[in-house]
Amino acid sequence: MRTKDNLKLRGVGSRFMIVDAADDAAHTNVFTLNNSAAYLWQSVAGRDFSEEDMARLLTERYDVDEATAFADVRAMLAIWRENGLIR
Amino acid sequence: MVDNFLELVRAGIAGEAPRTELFSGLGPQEWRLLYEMSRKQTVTGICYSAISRLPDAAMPPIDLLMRWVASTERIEKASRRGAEATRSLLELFGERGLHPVVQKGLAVARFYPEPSLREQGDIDLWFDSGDFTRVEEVITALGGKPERHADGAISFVFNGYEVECHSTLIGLRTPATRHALRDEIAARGRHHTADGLPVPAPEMEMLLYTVHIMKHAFGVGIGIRQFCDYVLAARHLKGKYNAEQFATSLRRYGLARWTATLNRFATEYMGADPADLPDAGYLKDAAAGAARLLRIVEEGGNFGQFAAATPSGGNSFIHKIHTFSTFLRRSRFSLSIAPREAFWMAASLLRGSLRN
Repeated sequence: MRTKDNLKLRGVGSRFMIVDAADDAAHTNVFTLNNSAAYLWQSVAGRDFSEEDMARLLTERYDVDEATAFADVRAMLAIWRENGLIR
Repeated sequence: MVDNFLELVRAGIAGEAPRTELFSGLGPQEWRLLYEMSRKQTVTGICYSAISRLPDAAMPPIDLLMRWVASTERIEKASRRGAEATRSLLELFGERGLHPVVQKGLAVARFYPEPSLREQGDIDLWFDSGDFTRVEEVITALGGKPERHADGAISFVFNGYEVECHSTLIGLRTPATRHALRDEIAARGRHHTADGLPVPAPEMEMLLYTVHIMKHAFGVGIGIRQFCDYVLAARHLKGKYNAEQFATSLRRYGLARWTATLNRFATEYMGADPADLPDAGYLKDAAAGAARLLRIVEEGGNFGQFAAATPSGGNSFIHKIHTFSTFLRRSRFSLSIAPREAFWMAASLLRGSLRN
């Protein structure tokens, strides 16, 4: 899977946002990400990645076991998929 | 809230964080007002750039912040499309033997810390007199519908953009000035940026922004974006042209007092460094003129579009009458600042109104 092209992760203060911009305001979506989601997005943007890649990134960076990392990654990817952020 | 707004603009064009103390105590209503001001003045992305450098506690409420981010993203996308359209046009014209120069737009965006945050309107191209005779023919060959305007410009739509083709680089109206300027433009030639964009020679580019603001401030109005253009152009072009010769030109064209007024606005309200700005040697106090300019900016926003009296709809005759009446309303200001140009602008507006 890959992140959708042309989506930019923006750091705004301590927050992170992704904007899926249409030409008009009515069809523009803004997503806020927490620190770990932003870290994952930055790590995989623009390249092919798998659930395993993401879980490994989480366990390497945070104090979390593999099972928890996988559960978190699956939940997050489900949201990203539902909102058209990945393909 | 004007001070807060101007601080966002100042910080945005400087690529800096704004002064936190001006934003820490703001409530949702005040932030909404700042957002609307940024939209009215077409500096939404520039203000966003400043806001993004504030500490969390001083930022707008999250819902407004998300709207601001969304607007900024759309501006960036549109700017990139505008840049592509401009470059395509240059290539297409070039293939047919015409070599225009980019006025404003992509040319001035290059001075911004983040060029894609500068909102782009129309695409303006200047053709020297030899090329201009063929513009209409080439537009038609490109599949466009050329439309002639009262000021001699020819416009058409290209990839969704209104393109204006001009035979005059700088819109001064005094006949003797136009003659002198034509010679000066021919002598100075054109320049190219590092990535090949054809732009006016540095002193001509400075004159272009100076006169562009004046023309609109005297007429229907002007927003803060064009002052950003001026401040950034001055900052980046400083040292690239002969300041003394430029000062002489400004005086010869009757623009010394106008330049002093513009500079006072830039230093007082936009944090410009006086050392960056062209100096035509006008020594009297320009504070009152600068304050008047600020009222013009606040009143109408981007090219006066938001002034209460601005007509809506496409009736060109009504728009011409509005332009002329606004000019009359501001004539005391314009005649005190640049009397020769103000007179000839009025004559030109009247001629244009009567022509169609």
